[in-house]
Amino acid sequence: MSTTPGAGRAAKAAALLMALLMTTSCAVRTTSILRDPDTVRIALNAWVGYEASAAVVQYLLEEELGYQAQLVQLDEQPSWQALDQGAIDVILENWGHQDLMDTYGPGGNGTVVDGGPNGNTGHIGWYMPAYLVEEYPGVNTVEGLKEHADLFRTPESGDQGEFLSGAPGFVTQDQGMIDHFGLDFQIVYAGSEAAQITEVRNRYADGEPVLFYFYEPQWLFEELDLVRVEFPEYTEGCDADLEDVGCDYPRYDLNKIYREDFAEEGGPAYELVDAWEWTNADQNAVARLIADEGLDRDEAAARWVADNPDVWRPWIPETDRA
Amino acid sequence: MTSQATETTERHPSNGDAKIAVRHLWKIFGGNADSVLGTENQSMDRDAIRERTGCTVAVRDVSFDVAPGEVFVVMGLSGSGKSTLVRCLTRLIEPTSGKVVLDGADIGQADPQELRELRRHKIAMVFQHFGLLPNRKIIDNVAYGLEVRGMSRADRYARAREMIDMVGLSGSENSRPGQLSGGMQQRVGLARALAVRPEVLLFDEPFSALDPLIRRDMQNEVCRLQRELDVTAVFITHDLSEALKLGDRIAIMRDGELIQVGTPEELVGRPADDYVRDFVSDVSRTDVLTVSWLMRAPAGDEPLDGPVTAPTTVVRDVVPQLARGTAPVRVVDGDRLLGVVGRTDVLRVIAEDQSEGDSGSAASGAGASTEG
Amino acid sequence: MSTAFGAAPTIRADGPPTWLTSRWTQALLVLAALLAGFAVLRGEHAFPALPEPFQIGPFFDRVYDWVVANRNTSPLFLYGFNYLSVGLGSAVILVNQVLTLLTWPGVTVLGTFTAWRVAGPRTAALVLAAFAVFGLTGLWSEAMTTLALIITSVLLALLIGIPLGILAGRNEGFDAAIRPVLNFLQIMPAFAYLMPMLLLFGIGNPAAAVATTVYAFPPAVRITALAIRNVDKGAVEATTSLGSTSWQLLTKVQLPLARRTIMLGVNQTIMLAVSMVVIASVIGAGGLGDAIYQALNKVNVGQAFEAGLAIVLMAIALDRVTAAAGNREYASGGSPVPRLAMTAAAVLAAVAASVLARLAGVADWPREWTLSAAGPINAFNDAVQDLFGDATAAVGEFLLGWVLDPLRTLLTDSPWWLVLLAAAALGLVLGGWRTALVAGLSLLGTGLLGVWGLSMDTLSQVLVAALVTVALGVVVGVLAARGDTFSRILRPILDAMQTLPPFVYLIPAVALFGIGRVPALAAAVVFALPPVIRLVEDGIRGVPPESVEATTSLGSTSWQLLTKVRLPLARSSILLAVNQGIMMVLAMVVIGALVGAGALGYGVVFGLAQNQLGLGLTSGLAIVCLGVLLDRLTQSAARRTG
Repeated sequence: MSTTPGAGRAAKAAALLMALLMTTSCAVRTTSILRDPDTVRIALNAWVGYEASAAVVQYLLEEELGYQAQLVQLDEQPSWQALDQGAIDVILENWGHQDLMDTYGPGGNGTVVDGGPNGNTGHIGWYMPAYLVEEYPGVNTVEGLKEHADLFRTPESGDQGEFLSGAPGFVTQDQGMIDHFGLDFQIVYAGSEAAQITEVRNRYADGEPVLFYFYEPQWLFEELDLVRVEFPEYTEGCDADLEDVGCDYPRYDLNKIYREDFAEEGGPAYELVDAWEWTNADQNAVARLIADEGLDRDEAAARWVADNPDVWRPWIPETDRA
Repeated sequence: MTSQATETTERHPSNGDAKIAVRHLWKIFGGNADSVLGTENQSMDRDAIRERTGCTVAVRDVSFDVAPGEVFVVMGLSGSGKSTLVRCLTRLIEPTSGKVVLDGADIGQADPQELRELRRHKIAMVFQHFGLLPNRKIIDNVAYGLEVRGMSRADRYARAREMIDMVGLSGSENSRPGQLSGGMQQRVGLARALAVRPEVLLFDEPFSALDPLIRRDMQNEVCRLQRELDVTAVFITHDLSEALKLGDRIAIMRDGELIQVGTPEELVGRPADDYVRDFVSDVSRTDVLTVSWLMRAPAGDEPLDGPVTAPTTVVRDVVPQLARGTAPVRVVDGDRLLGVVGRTDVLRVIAEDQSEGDSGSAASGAGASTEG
Repeated sequence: MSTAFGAAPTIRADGPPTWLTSRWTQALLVLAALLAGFAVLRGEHAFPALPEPFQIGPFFDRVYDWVVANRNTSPLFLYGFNYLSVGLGSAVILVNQVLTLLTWPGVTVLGTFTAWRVAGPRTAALVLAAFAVFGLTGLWSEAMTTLALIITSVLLALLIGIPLGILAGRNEGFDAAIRPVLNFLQIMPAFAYLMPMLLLFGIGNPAAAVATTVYAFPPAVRITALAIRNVDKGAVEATTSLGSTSWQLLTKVQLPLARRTIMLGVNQTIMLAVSMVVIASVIGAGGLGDAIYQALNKVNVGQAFEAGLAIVLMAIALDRVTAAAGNREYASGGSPVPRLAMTAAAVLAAVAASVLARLAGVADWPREWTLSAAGPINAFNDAVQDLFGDATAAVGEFLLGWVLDPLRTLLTDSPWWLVLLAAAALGLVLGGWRTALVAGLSLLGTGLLGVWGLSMDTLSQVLVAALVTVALGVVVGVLAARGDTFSRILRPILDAMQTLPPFVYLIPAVALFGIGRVPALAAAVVFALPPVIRLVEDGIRGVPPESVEATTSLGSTSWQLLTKVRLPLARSSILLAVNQGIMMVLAMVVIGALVGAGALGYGVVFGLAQNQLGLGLTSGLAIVCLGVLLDRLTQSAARRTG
């Protein structure tokens, strides 16, 4: 930390202003937007697991390397666009999105690059409370869903079973699966993950049936006993036609996506982010602190960092290791 | 009617001496004035024109002259077009056609810059609702006209103080208009107009929003200032007594037309039509008519040793003289005998006053009398 | 009605009986025709799809692809949008830097001092309280981020809005030209702005600043224009007669005299900006909106409420200070020299405070100084849910089964042309040919945009929510008009309801009503109620006391007084309240989609989240079409009656 942060900030502000004046004298690319070289801008997607990852990376960047790390709240797809525009530097947890990589990656605009796996694996799927499977054995199969569709009826879904979808920004193939397997279900869009979780919790508390889109790793699994619906395993290309999908969601090896220049320019911040890799269990530990125990994300990160030095030590660039 | 108006105005033919000369001025509100002017519609009455074209004729073919130093009063009821007329004089309302000539220059031809100069230096106006700026101090209101001219602050404040003194508001310089009474606010309006040292002052019913007593004070004030400063004034009013009090000449306006233009005496003594007659019917002739109006050549047998009086004496003032003796009053201009006024002449005037007072508006068939 | 006169209408042999010519009867007839058509032609005649080249959604999608591919090569961006984007983004950052530089004690000193000078000690205390809440909730830096964005956007909005307003105020033609643009901008849902902004100006602060500006500047234009037009004609004429130039007239007369009203516009602009910056957090604007959003992701109502409270206090503080600035009398203010000295003193004090804070090592608000009310609020929320959950769920089920579903079915399953004709016929009955034309065209617009079905779904929800809002609003408004104590208690609650970001009560709504259209309806009602209640209350209080006195002297009961005098005389206010209520409900269509309302709102949300400009924008425009339809219908109803 600088001893005179005020003066430092003032100088920085002046430098930013100068940069602005210089950039406005000619053609302007969005990437020339003001950026403090000591600030790393990390996309923050809406789910808590992502927030856990972002919290730890932010904490380490700030406390260990002396950077400012800014978390920018964005949906998944706009995050890619933000990388393209130069508004952020990194997405920490990306789920697939080959189409976006085609548009923005080396084969397209060339503004983003794949940063490799972050160590987490993600699995989207259909879930229901465990008590349902106890009461109606086999309901968590395609056949069981066909048989018990009426169980899931709600006023919103009318005379079809209700499939509760999640946040609008997430990857989905649910309609294709419903159509392929001939399920008598209607998708009800919760519109936000918060609304979806609230509804699921309510139904769970009352022991009512509910079938919904969800994914792992997710902190709610710590709170509720949920069972995955069994569909045929994902095979390469079985989800090619989104209107007719005869398989489960794929298992994603979640990866990092960088702004091209961020990776190019390198530096300790890049090195830390690039070296960062942890397990689903690590992420869940932090996510639970945030979601269940109501800790601020930096408190949660601080606690995890204090407890797991041997996990994160190797991420710190050698030059910066104390 | 128009012919009569023309007749009266032609008794004051335009000459180089007129301060303001107005010729065939029209103002027509509404989209297509062209459908009125220069067509057969032109001669129809107001309502018919509105029905036909949707246009409202506010000022119709008005012509008059105002002599330098004269107070010219335009009088009419509300809706007669008098306020529109006075605004046309400085193009606050753009006339539809006709000419307004000030000191020989046609105001209608002035470009915006010239018009502004004219308004800044030559013509100032006093408004019925004062039009003061509530956010400014009195002195800044009075100095406004000087400020927009670009006069320095010190100079304009000096002049404004002078004007504030002149209208009797010393000490209120730093008040705001909202803190003053209506009469005082109008004094501010007057001071503001006078501050630019105008040659012509336009008054648009300046006192009709004031209490009667204050109104009388303000009328006296205007008389005094107009005499002291020797400005030419056009004064709009709907109050006949105000018109008679202030006007050197008075124009009676109805439905956008001037019906009669003349001195108070001419209006009272020789109303152009029933409308004017009705209008002036409540006026006591003895207060308005002068002896020069009544005087005649002495008859052969009349004694010429009666008291003398000036031609401008009003009739009322010779009554006591006539009461003292039988000889007619001699009207003299210096040594020259202009004529005489006898008892019967004066009695006739008094009788006319009384008969009109008795029978209400008997003289005008149009007037609806409520008395039996 | 007394029986003696009951037969009176039939005496009229000529012409149809009067009940037939009543507008409400005619409206009912239109409805009956719609129902009959629905019964016969149910499910047929869906709105035909346009041939591909004319489809609007795919067109926007192509625009999107083009922009993404050309943003850093096309001169339109290199020399156009990017300038704005970079400039604005930097401006927000700079303002934020200044606020950070001042540190919290400096900002607090400066803010409180300004409030005290402008609005007096009470408002200063309020501002101080707001700052205290920012700090105590641990949201200081978020609040400053939000404040920086508000300051930048409001300055920009005023920089655009006031000159446009002046032009509109002085020029009839310009006024007529800009009016529909403003209407459009005000009906367009805030969410629908975000996508094009994000595309053109870049994610984060730039798009957020532009979106907020665009959302917030219309009232500045409208109110400035109104203010200029309402300047005392006499003053304008008098100063013109003294030879003012047009510029002098503007600067010396019109602007000074319009200042108070213009400040009202500034105030409105700030309020809209506050509500928009919360929404803008969806595209990376950060700040308090972000805090709310992230609390929602964790389904933590208490945390969301804390951040919401910070927003409410910021809004109320800004509102009170600007309102007071507008209300200051001409006489006050004093000479400029002491004012300058005071300003200098304030700045010095702020700097001193910030230096002291740095020396004391508390430049950032210390974490130990925070309190959290999240726990108790969550507990309260749970308790409410336990207590009322069953009852509200039952109400929800009833609404869904007996009102929302039938109406949706009627609108979506009737032939499209029949619905369109019915709307036009209603327009004819309520307004006249022009209204009929606008009503028909706006509905046709939703079809041409390719979202007829979704629009009908949304329309059904909006109608029901508006109905509930108006019914509740009238009842509460009447009570408030008749009970001064009740009115006083109600006022701060309404203030809070109006400024609390709707996100905050979405989760409780879901908890009480389950997911779907009902919680969305509940949230919309909460959002739309305050102005309705206010208008009804004002209308009833505005009934001339003479009328009340006269009817009281004739022996009316208080119920008769209400139904025969107060309500009829307050009719135009009530119809205005209906109009406002519907427009507010419409503004919640997108927010409602976040709890499962689906339809057009979901189109907007989904389009934004999935980068589908076509879907997002067509849905947004369709909401505008519905807005125009409903606005016109209710306005002409109000005009006819008024």
